[in-house]
Amino acid sequence: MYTWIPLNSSADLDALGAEISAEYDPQSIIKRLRAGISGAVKGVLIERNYVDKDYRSTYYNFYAKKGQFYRAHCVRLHFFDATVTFDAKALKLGCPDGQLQDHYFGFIVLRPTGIATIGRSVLSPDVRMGTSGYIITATHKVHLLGYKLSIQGFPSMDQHIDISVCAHVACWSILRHYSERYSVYREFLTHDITLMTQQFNPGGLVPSKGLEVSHAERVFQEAGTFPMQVPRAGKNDTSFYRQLYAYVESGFPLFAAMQSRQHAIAVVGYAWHPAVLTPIKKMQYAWDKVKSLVVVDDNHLPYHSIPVHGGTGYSAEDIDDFIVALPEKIFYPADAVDRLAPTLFQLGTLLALPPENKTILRYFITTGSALRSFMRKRESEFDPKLLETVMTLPFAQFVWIVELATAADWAAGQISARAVLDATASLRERLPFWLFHNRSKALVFNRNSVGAGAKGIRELALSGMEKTALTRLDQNLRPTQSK
Amino acid sequence: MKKKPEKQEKQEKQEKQEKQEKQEKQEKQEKQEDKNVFDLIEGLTSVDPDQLADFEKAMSDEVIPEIVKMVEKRRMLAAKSRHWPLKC
Repeated sequence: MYTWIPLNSSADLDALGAEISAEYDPQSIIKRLRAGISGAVKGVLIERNYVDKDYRSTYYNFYAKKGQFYRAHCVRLHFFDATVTFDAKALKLGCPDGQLQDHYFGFIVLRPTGIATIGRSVLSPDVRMGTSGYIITATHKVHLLGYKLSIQGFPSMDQHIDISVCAHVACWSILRHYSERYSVYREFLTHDITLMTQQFNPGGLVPSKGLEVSHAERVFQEAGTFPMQVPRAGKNDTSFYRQLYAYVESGFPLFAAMQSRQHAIAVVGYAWHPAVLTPIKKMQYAWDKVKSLVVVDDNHLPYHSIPVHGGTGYSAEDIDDFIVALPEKIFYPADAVDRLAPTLFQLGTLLALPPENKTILRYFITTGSALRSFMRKRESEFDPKLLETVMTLPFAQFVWIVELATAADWAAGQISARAVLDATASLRERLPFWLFHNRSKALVFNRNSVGAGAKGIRELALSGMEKTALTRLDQNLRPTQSK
Repeated sequence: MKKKPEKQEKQEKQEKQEKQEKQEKQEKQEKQEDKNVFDLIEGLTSVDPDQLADFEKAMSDEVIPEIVKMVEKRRMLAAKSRHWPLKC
């Protein structure tokens, strides 16, 4: 039932061919693992007769109804580093420090469907060749041989082709991430997703004929989220990409559609250009610093890296629409923040800011409690009066953060000023702020009485922050540590 | 008239005192909640509203109308892109 395959080189993956039967299409798996998994993986444990809930959902509702016999069980491949050993007689895994968890890189489920056999998989981004940067992840529990393991990653699978297509898989990946990451969302299996796209069960092979963007929107709505669709307004709509980045930076994986390719993917991360101190000649946005996006595409192993421009396959330029599955209380859209952010320089008479043409703007959503937690962990960076202010302001659950950084700040992971906006503000509010501060002063806005306007603003002189670090707020995504 | 036992009298007095203290505490707490958030933060000073005049004018005359226009534009575009087929 269990077989250990030690890997000294990627050629050793060929052994999978002899261990796994043809219905799991081992040759195609070997090829993809050779091209996609790093040399840090030194052992693969094959677990046979695995009951995979997602495959079973399609088995009970589709494969079991076919004349062709399909197995009910899957095979699961687990990946480990060089320190792990397997005692085949005692069915025990071991490692010198006894911390098996620290040497585990995740799993891939293989479905007995002959084609497109990669099922529910959660791999560590650290062992994916060619992947770098910041990635949205959740902790996924894994039960193996009586060991309770966990893996930080983003779920992925191949499309079934006959009963699900790329868009079903992108929806499934995002919703499985949500159910693992946030207790408020329930789990949806592959078959559930195919049903959620329609008002009624269309039966037969209808799902494989594809779906429309609106169907994906419907899936997210059915799942209890509040989907917002953002289409690109022409080829030169840079605001579209700035918003795409902002939502990913906020920890929301995106359902991204490419009209020309009739293809859908999930955008789950990004990588910066190397942080080199280069002078800025005009105002920039964080998006201008993004080198590539990390996506979950059902035609590739997870964490496929796509460039912003060019490349051999598709690039970020091919994305022309995305859906972000938001929680309920985010009313102020990224479009509004994108337009408002450069206007902050008009508050320069009240609060010293870097010159507009030498500033990099970055905006994203976080929770009021995450902001407080970030500042609490870095108490030494702030005047205690600013801390008191942030701890006292009655933030709504979500806030938009706008950070202003010079080129030198950016290279050092620092900022010059930070604005906190109310994510529940309405589009027509002139002052949708909670707070705006630099190193010497904070503007505090009264949101406790409607219509307070400019009269409801106070300033707070700050001291002791002139030379302290003012760190960029980076905490929604997991940095990749390539192995 | 029969006088109340000393123990009972003492207990009643204590209960009355506790009730009064509780009421005072509650009133104090309510007052604290009614307080403007600015009263809870030390060191705040007023800002001359005229200093925000340019910002507010820019928001009213340019920024908000552009935001509303852009949101509407994307809404119209989304009505079309909703029908894009996805099957690869």
